[in-house]
Amino acid sequence: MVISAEVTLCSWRTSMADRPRRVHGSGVLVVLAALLACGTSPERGPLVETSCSNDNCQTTGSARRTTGLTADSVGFTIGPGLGTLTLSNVEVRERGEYDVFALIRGSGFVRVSVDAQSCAPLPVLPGWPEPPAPSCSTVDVGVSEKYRWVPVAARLRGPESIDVSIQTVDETSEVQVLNVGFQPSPVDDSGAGCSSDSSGPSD
Amino acid sequence: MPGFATLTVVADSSAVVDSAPRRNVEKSARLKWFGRASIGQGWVLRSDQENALRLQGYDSPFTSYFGLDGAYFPWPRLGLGVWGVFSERDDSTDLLPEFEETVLVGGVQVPVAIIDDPHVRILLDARLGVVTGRQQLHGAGEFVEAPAVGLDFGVVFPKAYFGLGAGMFSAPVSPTGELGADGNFGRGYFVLVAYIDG
Repeated sequence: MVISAEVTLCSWRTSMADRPRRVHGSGVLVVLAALLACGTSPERGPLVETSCSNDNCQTTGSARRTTGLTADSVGFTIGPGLGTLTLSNVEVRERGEYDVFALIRGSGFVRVSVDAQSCAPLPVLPGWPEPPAPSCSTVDVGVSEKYRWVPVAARLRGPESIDVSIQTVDETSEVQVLNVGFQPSPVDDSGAGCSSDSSGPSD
Repeated sequence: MPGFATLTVVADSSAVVDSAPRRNVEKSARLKWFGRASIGQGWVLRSDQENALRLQGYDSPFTSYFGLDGAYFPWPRLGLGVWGVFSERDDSTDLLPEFEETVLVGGVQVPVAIIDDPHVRILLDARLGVVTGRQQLHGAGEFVEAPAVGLDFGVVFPKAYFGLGAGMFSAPVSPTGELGADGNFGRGYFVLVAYIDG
């Protein structure tokens, strides 16, 4: 399955535009909650920086560790050629549902797998609506020339530890992995003011 | 009749006596040199590196800005001088390591006194220089050098030793990290100015 980098994420501008006249009493709380859920600085885990500075990241094949945006930071390249980067036992401190993203650029496609305890579906309780199923399946992601946050898993439940694996799918694909991060899952479109025009956790 | 002749001579003499000091005053009021110290708010110029940093979560474009410059005017309204800038920014969140950027610039400038009045002067400076700077996330960034070009606009009040200024310079740089993108250590800025001249 190939997924697009376009994803339904929150936009505080939209949420503000949707609620201009109802900012009274509990309405204020609704807007504040929407802003917290869809804020301009969503919670992100600098997973590569924190996990990989402790050598918790493994590379195989054409994957190799290098410097990131600056000479003293961490990044990874994979390809050309087959290779895999694995971040193991990454701690996600987010409470509640969260989505996982990878900040990558390059060409071709990469296969991203996220393994987490919360990938197991929740039991459906009598009298309660069925919870949304987490998306933990392996996805093939198209990589663009410029850095973009690409969604790789959705609606996991933290806090927990996760494993993230990124690998090239053919001999020609080449990807630079700058970061892996997470943020709270967007609230349902029943009023949280989420839009479909964002390209990642934060632009 | 002799009285008329005397009166004429006196009138001519006063004209001579009056015009000489006026020319001297105008000449002495002309700008010969100036020195400025500037402090203010700067902001970074957009670049691919800046876009990548913002994606990472480092989304504050604002910097500190300190400048020193001066010039000598060998020609009316047109001078030659030097300039220097120090600018720094820090950005951090709870989850990300602190990002630090340090920029130093020095170079030559050609100021033009658009308005050269003893009470208010408007100066426009074309600037060339060399920038050295670094970006770092863990306190061990590498310095990189590049040429810089800029333009500065200032309004100064010599009697008050005060002025205001704004401008920008651009300094495209190569990334120091392998996954970095083309950056720019340039700045736009608004400044308050302490000013002296002669």
